[in-house]
Amino acid sequence: MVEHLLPALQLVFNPVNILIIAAGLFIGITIGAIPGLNVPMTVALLLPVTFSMHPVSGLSLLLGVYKGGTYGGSISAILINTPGAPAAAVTCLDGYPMAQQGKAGKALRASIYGSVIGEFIADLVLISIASQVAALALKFGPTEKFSLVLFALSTISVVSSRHKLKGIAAGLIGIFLHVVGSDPISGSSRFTLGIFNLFGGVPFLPLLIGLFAVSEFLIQIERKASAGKKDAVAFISERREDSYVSWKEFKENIKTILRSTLIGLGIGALPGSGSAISAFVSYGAARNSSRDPEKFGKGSLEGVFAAETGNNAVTGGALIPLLTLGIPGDAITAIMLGVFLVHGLIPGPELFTKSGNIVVAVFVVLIVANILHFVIASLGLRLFVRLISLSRSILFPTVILICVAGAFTVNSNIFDVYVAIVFGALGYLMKKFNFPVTSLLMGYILGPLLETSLVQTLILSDGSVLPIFTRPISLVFVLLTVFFILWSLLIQKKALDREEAANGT
Amino acid sequence: MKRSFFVMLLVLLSFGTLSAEGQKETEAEYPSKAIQLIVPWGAGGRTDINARMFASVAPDYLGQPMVVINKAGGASVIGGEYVAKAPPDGYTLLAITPGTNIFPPLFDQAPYGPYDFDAIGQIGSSTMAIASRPDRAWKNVDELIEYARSNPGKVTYACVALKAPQLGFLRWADAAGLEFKHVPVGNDAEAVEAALGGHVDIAMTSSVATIISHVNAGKLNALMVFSEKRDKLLPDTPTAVELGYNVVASPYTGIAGPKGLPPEVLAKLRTVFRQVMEDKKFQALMTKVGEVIDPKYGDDFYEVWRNDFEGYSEVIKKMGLKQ
Repeated sequence: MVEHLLPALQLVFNPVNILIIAAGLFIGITIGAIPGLNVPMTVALLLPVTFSMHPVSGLSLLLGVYKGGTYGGSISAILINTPGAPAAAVTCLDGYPMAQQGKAGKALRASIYGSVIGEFIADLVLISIASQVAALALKFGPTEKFSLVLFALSTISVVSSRHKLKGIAAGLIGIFLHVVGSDPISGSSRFTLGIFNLFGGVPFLPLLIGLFAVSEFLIQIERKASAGKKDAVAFISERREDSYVSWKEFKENIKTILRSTLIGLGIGALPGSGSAISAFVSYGAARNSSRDPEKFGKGSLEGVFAAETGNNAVTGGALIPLLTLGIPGDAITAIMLGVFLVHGLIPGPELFTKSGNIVVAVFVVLIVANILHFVIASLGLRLFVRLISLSRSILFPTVILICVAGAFTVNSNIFDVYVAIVFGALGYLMKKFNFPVTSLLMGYILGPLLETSLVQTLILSDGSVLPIFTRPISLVFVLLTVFFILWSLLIQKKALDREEAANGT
Repeated sequence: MKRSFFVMLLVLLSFGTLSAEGQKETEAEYPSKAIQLIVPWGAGGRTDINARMFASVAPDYLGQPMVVINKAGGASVIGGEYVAKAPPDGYTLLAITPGTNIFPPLFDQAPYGPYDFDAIGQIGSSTMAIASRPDRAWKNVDELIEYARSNPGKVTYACVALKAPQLGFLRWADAAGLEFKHVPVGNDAEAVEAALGGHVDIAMTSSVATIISHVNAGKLNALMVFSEKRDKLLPDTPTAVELGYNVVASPYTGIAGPKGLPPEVLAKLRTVFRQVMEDKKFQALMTKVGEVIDPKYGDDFYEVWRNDFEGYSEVIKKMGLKQ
């Protein structure tokens, strides 16, 4: 590795390449922050641009977009309660309440610090022990993946802290929605109502736009109509401490940041999962080990740190199977695989021996991108915060226009716009009746993994569920799931008792 | 005032782009205006890249621009239907793969049939292959066959269900009189992952690119390929045909139009297709993106569809895979 360092540094450190990384980050943050424009599509559209570039420059651009895009989603999540990317859905839970308390600046800064630190540590792990992590990830077969998904689903009970049953119901609706489409094993159509548009399942991006953006738009209109009631709109507090994260607050959250990084890294390294799942699990874990879990969902700084560190650490984790095994961890790394192939570089065991310079250069790019990410995001923050002071009657129509256009452009299919509208109505009703939309999203995202891993497990074991409890890694996750649920129930009971005691006096 | 002007501008801009498409064309010698090439999948995939490369060179010979439009949804049936039902005037073409005109019709999940398209040409095809970890009881396909014969239904293979990989594998297994256990996965990478981790015995992938690095590193043994000829990347791996099984299954990428193109339009498109395939610039572009050009022209391409559809129909009937 050391002998590759000098040529790698030469590859990365030229003005054009640094500019490309910065451009990638800027594009990523912007696209990520705009609900309706999605990062995988941006990466796909930029792919042909990279063909004529040096592979290191091409990868610099896409890695910049990847990192920036994963972070950017949090900006709109915090400011307008609409995640710009699925991974930021959890950030809404505490980021938006913080903005309603005038602490948008603090939440946005926490998001930057969490993202950058999570990324940085994950990148260091990638650089130092990628092949060991990959070997461990390969041990995860269908059975292990099933229990991991089970564990991830158990965090629904945490995410929906106050309305547990409604949270579980929403999660189940999400899982059911995934069932629509072709059965992955027999190929028969399930719940498609004969609509060809549904044969590939309920389209994801329109669902996300509808559930979060359109529904939020409806809620805002309603608030505007029933004016007079002084309700909590996001604003910027005059007090300086509401806009910055103090050293004391940061120290209090170091444990959360490290835990979330580890979760993001691990989930990222498992192909087929992704940043949204990591954000969910990090958030759940943070709440369950927090000293004041009641604050979660009401503007907890810890919650923002957990979600944002968790989702950005995935970017480092997902590169591990890509580089060492040639297996992409998510939609974006799948497209990145194309850049390698285009330049005759085949990711996998041979990459490190055959093209050491390129691999080390990618490592250097990652670290440089981390530093630039911090700088660009901090500069952009001043600009983004101003969005809040923009009149809602301009902000929301613009956002909704971009969203609907975004729902259409991905597939040039008007059906997707209808899906966004239908889910907008559903999201509105859910929000009105306190069903957490985040839990629905989680069920929808985890559904496919849950089903295929269970089916694969049962096929391999000739129909027996025993392996789920007898394989060691799997058993650990089953026990963790049980523990997690019991623990969150216990926390809730304590909180209720305290509330009662407080009311009693 | 200023603000509402800005909003109005946005709205007007978005409508402006929509109405620009509605212009009426005048009759003239084909092609007299831009041609749409519909990609029924999202941007960034292999079909999309092939289509974009083709569309970047074809205008040199058409004298008109070619615009790539991603019309995805419904597992590519939406884009397929759009072209199948488009007026057969040569201005709407399809980047076609078995995923659009073979598999959905095979399972009655498309509002069109496999032959509701006019074949213009095949750009390339990918080599399907099976591979196993070296610690398995077999080192090559002969040993695998022997092992599977004495352990029917015990050997597991992971691949995408009910598409070229599983159906191709089943055609071979049926021809060889063998029985395996199928483990469905979402894509090629997951099949390779399951085999590398030792969770299944065989990975069946729709392209050699996903296994070649592991084969070269000695982590996987490539056992057999399903193409007509041996693959350049795996010169020592035999084809199914060589071993005496009449199974050729290579997922293609090509260009087609709606059925019933006027003869002179079809002829023009086929000529242009051949010119693009022989174009040095196109060949260089394709090499650059790692795609192998393996052209088949006109009716030969149509024959590939026939071979696929009939071969797969037979195997799904035999295995009772259709509800």
